[in-house]
Amino acid sequence: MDLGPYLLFASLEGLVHAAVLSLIALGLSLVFGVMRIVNVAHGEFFMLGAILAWWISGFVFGSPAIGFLLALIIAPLIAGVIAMSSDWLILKHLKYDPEATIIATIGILYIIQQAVLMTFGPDARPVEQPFNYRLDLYWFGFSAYKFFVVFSAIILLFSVWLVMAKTKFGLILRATQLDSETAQAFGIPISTVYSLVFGVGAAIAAVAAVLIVPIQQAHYLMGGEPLLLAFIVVIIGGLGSLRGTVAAAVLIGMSDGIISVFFSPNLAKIIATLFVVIVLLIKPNGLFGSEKT
Amino acid sequence: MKRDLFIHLGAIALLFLLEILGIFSDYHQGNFARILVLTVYGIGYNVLFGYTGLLSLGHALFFSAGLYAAGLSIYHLDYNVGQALILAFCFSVLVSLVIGYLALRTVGVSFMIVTLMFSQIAYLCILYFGGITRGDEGIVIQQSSRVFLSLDLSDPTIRYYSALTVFSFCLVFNLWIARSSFGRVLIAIRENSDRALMLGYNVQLYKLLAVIISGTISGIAGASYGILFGYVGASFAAVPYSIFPLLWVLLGGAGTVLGPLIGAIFMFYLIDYASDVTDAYMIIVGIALLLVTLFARRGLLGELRYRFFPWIP
Amino acid sequence: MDTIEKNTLLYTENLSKNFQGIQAVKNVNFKINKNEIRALIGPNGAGKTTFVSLLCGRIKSTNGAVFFDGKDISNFPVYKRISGGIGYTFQITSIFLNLTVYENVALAIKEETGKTNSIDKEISNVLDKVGLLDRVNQRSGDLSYGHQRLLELAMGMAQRPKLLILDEPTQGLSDPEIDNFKFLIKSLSSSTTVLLIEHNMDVVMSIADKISVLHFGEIIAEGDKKTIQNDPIVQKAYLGD
Repeated sequence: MDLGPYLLFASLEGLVHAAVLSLIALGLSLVFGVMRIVNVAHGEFFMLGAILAWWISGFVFGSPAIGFLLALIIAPLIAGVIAMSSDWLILKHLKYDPEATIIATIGILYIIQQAVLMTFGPDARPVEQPFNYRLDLYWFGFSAYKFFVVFSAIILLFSVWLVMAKTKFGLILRATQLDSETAQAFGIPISTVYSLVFGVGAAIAAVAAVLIVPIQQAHYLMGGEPLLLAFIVVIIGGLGSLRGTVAAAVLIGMSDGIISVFFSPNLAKIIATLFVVIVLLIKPNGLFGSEKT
Repeated sequence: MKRDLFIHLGAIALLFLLEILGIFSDYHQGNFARILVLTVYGIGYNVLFGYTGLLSLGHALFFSAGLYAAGLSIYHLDYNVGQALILAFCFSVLVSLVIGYLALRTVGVSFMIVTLMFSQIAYLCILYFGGITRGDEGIVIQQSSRVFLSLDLSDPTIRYYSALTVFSFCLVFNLWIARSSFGRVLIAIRENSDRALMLGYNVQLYKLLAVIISGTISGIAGASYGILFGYVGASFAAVPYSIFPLLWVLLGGAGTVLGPLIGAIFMFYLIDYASDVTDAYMIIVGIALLLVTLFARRGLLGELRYRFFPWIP
Repeated sequence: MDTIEKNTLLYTENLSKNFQGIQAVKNVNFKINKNEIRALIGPNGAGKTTFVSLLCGRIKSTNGAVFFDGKDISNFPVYKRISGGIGYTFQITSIFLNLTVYENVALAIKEETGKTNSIDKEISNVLDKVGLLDRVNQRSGDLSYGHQRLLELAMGMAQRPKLLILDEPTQGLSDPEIDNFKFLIKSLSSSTTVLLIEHNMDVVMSIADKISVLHFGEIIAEGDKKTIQNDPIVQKAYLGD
């Protein structure tokens, strides 16, 4: 293959990375934006989504599409419920103190990860693609499923934007984000909102996992890498800025995908970090973050 | 105020006595040598987290900086132990200066994220340059290279005394910081950094110094670990090794000199026991983190200090 | 603008601060002389705290310059301004709650003072003045609110600043406590210059040498008690609020 088509191939791979990363980082950023806490266990909810997708698809016979659709509904629900209960059982009692919350979510990280290891074992688990169709792009064939992943991600991102901008629930979230005490004074049930947001954040990560798992396989240690990338993304994009998060996710996801194809995935992350270093030196609040006084 | 000195020197003396009287079995002697070196790491972590109030999630970076500087220079460049230690010290200072400068451009949760991120990248670098580091597999330092002042550091008894010596120096240094006016400023930054700034302290500089001291002690711990136990591997740079010192310090009591020792002894034996029972022994770490944040925020010594002995440094 | 005399400790030139389009402080030319007690008054939201924050550098100015003790300190970071001789006590009590009274004051004393003995002496001295000497080893978080305010003032005094900025020091205090404060501040003026933000007019009228009135970020009047009391613009600003 010539360089041109090869570059096209790498860019398409990068697009898939970017799509999935946008969703993961969006979940992280949403939680931070509304609750002002960082969920270090975020990657484990992603992993949970992937493992559950494999587990659910094991029950379904016939077309893999049915199992996939079921997983797409059930896995995020379970991940969301687990997240909500950990918020309710743990984070609420820490009063969302930033430091204590971060330490507690590290605890949650290990509990989920090791519980999955105990329950489902250490093996990597493949999931069949819901449909198997290759698009002929003249120089090479490219899985139509990967395009489906990209489109699903775009639709989901758009829906989140729609909910945030146009619905009453979105208004409640934005009010809570601006000033939780005033919001509470106006009768917004803050603790319910927090639980919901924490659950939705985790569910979005789980959706990303269900989408990617037919390409990637599920494994109990798979949560670390997306968490690292999501951290890189939110630092570049500005913590809590949804617009910045998505823009940075596309940038980092694309370059991660392209560099991974041409060189190595580890090098891609090393280069992404150098980029973070530059951002920290020039704009410590992130490229899209606003200066706080 | 001599009682605090008495207790800390007493703790050191006790650790010497346990060995002199031959109370340790071979198994516990080896464990305690490890625990003492790991406690040095915990002491380094505590300077930043316990005293200055900065939560780092990436100290494995500093530990492995010392570990690899010492290990690689012995393995590839035939450095002797003394040279390797000096190199590891200088490299740790340099790494903590650079990382501290960059990470301190952020505050609060961003600082925590950035430290974790840098540490993960250091881990990936170790894997990426596998030709030099031999990646996950790691390198073994031969017994013949582990000789210092004609002492064979691989001998269990000499190893224990060496670990205890490094530990004693770092503990006394920590005690000195805790009692000095420098340490008081660090504590002031932890308690109320805005006020510390408005009292005329260059808070940013103090924070950077705290990162450098903390990172360098962690690096010394890493170098000692590599030399005393003869193994240098990528697992020491991975996330769990950033979380362990946090947990030791939390359990023993953040901002107490002896806290990291208590936390490290407890967790070492707990994990040692759990790993016999299950492969998923890290679940113990997760549960411990949750319990300590929910029910024992001050840790053991911190609670004692709060309730009974306000003079504990 | 008045002439800058030898006696001037601090002055500003067209000092301004914009917050996202809102001008919180507008072209303020302000001057304070050595050993003066100056009160800065004005309705809520007039920009008083913002203005003094610009002086000590907690907030960066958008425009204009600050001169202190003969030097242009506009580009100095906070710690340099403070160690250069500006002391600041917070409107909302800001002390180290988990540290003892002793440690709080010790932190306020400059390093160079040297030996532990002389520091101890200095601490006792300051605490004696504010009447907290018998609580020297108490955790400051266990003090009553009034005592915490006194500790805050003691820390300001221990810094031995050339200019001590007090942001509403008597807020929330009882009348006897306020009388004690008035006495303390008055006694400071022999050794230092005081810039006092204050809402309590009784305090202002009884201790201030001179009064400046800030309104919507501008100084609308300045002078002694009589002048201010009879100024129609000031009356309008207060009544119109």
